[in-house]
Amino acid sequence: MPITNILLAFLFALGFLAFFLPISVWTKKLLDLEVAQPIVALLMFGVAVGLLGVKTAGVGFVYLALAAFCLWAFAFGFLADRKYPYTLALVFLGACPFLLIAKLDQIAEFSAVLCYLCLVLGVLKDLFYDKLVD
Amino acid sequence: MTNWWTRKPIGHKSSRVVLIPLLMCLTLVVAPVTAQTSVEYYNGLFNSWGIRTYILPSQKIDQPATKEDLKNLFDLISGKAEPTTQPKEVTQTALEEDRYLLMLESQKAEAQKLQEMGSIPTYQKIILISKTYPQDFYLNQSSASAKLLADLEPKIINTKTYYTIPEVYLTTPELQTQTANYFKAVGKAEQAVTAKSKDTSTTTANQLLAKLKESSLLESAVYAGVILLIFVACYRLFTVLVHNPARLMRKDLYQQLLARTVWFISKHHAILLFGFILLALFYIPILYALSIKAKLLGTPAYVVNYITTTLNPLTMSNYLTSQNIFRLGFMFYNYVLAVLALILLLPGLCKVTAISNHKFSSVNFKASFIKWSIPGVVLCTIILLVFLPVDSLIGLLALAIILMAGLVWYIHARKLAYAQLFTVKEKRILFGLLTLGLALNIAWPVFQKSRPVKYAYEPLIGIKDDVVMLPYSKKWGQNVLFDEHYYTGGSLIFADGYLIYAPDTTKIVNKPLKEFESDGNLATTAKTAITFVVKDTKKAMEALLKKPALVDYFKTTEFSPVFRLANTDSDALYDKNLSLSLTFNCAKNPAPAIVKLETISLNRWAGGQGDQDQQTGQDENDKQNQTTNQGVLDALETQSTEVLNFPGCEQKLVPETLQVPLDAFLLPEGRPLVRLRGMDTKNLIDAKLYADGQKVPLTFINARILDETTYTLIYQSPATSLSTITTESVTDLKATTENVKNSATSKPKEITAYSTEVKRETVFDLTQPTANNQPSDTYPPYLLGESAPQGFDISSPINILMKQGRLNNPFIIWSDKPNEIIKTKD
Repeated sequence: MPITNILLAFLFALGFLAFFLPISVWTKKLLDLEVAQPIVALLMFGVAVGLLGVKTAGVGFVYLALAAFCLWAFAFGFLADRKYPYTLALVFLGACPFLLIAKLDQIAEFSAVLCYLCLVLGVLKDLFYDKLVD
Repeated sequence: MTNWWTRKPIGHKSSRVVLIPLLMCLTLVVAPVTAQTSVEYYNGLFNSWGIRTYILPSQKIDQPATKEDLKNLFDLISGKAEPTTQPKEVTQTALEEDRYLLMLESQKAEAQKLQEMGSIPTYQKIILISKTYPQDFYLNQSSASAKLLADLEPKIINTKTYYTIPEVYLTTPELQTQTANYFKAVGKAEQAVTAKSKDTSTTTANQLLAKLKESSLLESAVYAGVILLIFVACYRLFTVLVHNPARLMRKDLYQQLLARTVWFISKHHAILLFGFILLALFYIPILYALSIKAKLLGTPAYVVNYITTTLNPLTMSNYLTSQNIFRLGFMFYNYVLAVLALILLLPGLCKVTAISNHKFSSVNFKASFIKWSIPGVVLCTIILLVFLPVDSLIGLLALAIILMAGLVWYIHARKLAYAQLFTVKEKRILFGLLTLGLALNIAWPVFQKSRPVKYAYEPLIGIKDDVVMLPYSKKWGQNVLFDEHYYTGGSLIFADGYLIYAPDTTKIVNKPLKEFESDGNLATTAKTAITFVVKDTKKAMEALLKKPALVDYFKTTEFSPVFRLANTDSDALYDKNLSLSLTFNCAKNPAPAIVKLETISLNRWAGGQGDQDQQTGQDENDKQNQTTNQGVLDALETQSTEVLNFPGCEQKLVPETLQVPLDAFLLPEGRPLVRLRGMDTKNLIDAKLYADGQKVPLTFINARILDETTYTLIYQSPATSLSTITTESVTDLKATTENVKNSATSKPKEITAYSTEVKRETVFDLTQPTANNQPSDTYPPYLLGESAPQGFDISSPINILMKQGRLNNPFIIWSDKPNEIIKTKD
């Protein structure tokens, strides 16, 4: 029986359900303390983080740090002026032929991937920014 | 709006430009890496004991030793010299260098040559290291100490002092300690005499200075100086701590500190950038030199490998010990460059972080996005958790958690009434879906177990190369089996530790190594087809100790660092004078090292007592205790002792043999396994054990059992390569297929394969029906010598092992012959 899977599923569900339960009333009665629903939800996710860390012998925290960085970078790029990702894409694209001429094939390939990612970011921003942000 | 990272720090005074000293030098001379000779090792050893020594060859000096002195020296080496005078009082002459001449007995020829050149300096004291092993030497504490002191006593010949030390006193760890204590005492005694005799010749100022060094006034001044230094360095911190400690808890202090740093860097950005560019320019000639070396070596990845290994901080100790100054300099150059780059990037990083914080705090997401993103992520995660294990979902889970945390924090910061965004119908649907997801999480694994597993089939040899050779590593996914793969060769084929195919064989029985049973008759066993495969050294040693009959199959005539006593138990040696002789290979001039003797025996508390139990018999209770204890405790007991301080080779290319006394009680009772450690086995050529001067026969165990990186076929009986075995004879190798068909007693053979990797007995029946589906009690054509175009399907035994979960992931398919072809274009 995959206990970890079940526990994680319950924690995620509880994190969502915390918004629909009168948590602050219960905590006020029990602990004489008003705890906001989002805090309880965050607590559930915190326990999920702990469980993940235990299950993965600490490597999970590295995954979390990297995920946080990636999300931050994506969100920052998404919220930045649309000219920035497109300008970066042009810079990386322009660097490719020079790197290829200098026989730095691997760096040229990396630059091409960066150009692609910047273009994707720019397109996503153009398509979804108005739908997601007021 | 000015931000805190652009404002001038509060209270800042105009500062002088501080020029950061830049590292401009690179030592390009690569210090040659050499191993020490034994005399260099001893030189270092005596110097560490406070005895200043010099070694041959020496520089030509003005006052070479006299011929008479040299004659005395050579006579002493050859054992002819007798002390002419007894030491009454050692009078110290005022020599500029009060050093000992240190030489090996074997350097006599060298010394004679140097004598002719006049290059042996004047000496008052000489230390000779003799190769002679002292007779009747017991390692027992009291007698060894007395004998050592007697041997170390110097001889005085014509006012010159000669110490003759047997090399064993320097190579045996225990005796080296006692010798060290002796010479440290000699060194201190000489200093006392020298200091006393120099008293009258020193000036008053020097006397006072010498007194000051040991006075409490200097000590107090040092303490006061250190406190002042620390206070001055951390003045600001102490000011805050003393006058306003609460400020340490406030954010603005750290913001100000960071602001000062950022402002300073911004102000001197031009200089820092100039320095960085200048340092970075050095990379051009470095990369050019490395690329040339890469071309010479023919290794394109040399440049990248060189840089990555040099930057690895864990390798710094290697470079320090080998005195590789270039690598060390290159490493620190790179670190300085990296630190400068970080310093230059810091203001920009702070700016970007602040801007992103501002953007995140001022963004307003649409209510519909917030409303549906959270349940969407939660439901997707729950559904994925039903079907996939956590190990393969870690990245996604981490992303989901961070996303959820961010969205929840947004709701909390904006004080949104999240629940009110949903209608009643939407809530019911969401709760229903959540309940379904959670129920699936619980029920699905139960349902899966009750269903027969549906396997997916994939090719066994998945790569598209025209020719594939063994060994082959195969990685597999969950619930995967392999398509048919026919093998037509004539070698033994293994999958991990399991034998899965042998030519002309009807049945293969794979058993754990520790279940080996033998009637002790090697000749009979040779007629049966058996193989031994080892990967786990510990299990192999456990099996050797529990089943001594295995030693006959694991032994080797060549030297091996693992051995045992051949004909006797350790108990018989306890009252004998033991010594261990080791021969070292000096072809590669190995560095000094400490050789350890490790004894491996069965752990009594784990219940394993090997052949002793077999002899005395066990009752049911003992057997039960054995099985319960073995699960908890280590089956083997290991003890390691340092036995020899290898000083390095005396001469390159000439094997070096050193003999050291051995405490017989180091060897546990019975016949333990002994392993020599602390040195690369390539540097050891031979090991001999002597008891009271008589050589003790040793059985060397095949050193390949120590290799845990690959599976090793330690033994393969001759019968495994025979096409048939008759019950009458195994010598008639020319038995025809007609004989095989007609003989009632002859049949293709069965093989028993023992392995450390097999946990339970596994039997493979290799008889396969032919295309016409003949009954299985008639032998297929390929077993009867006729050609079989298809060969044998090696996937079927592999699939059996896969279903039982016996194979690793990835598992290795390998053969007893090197470069066996498993797949060809045809």
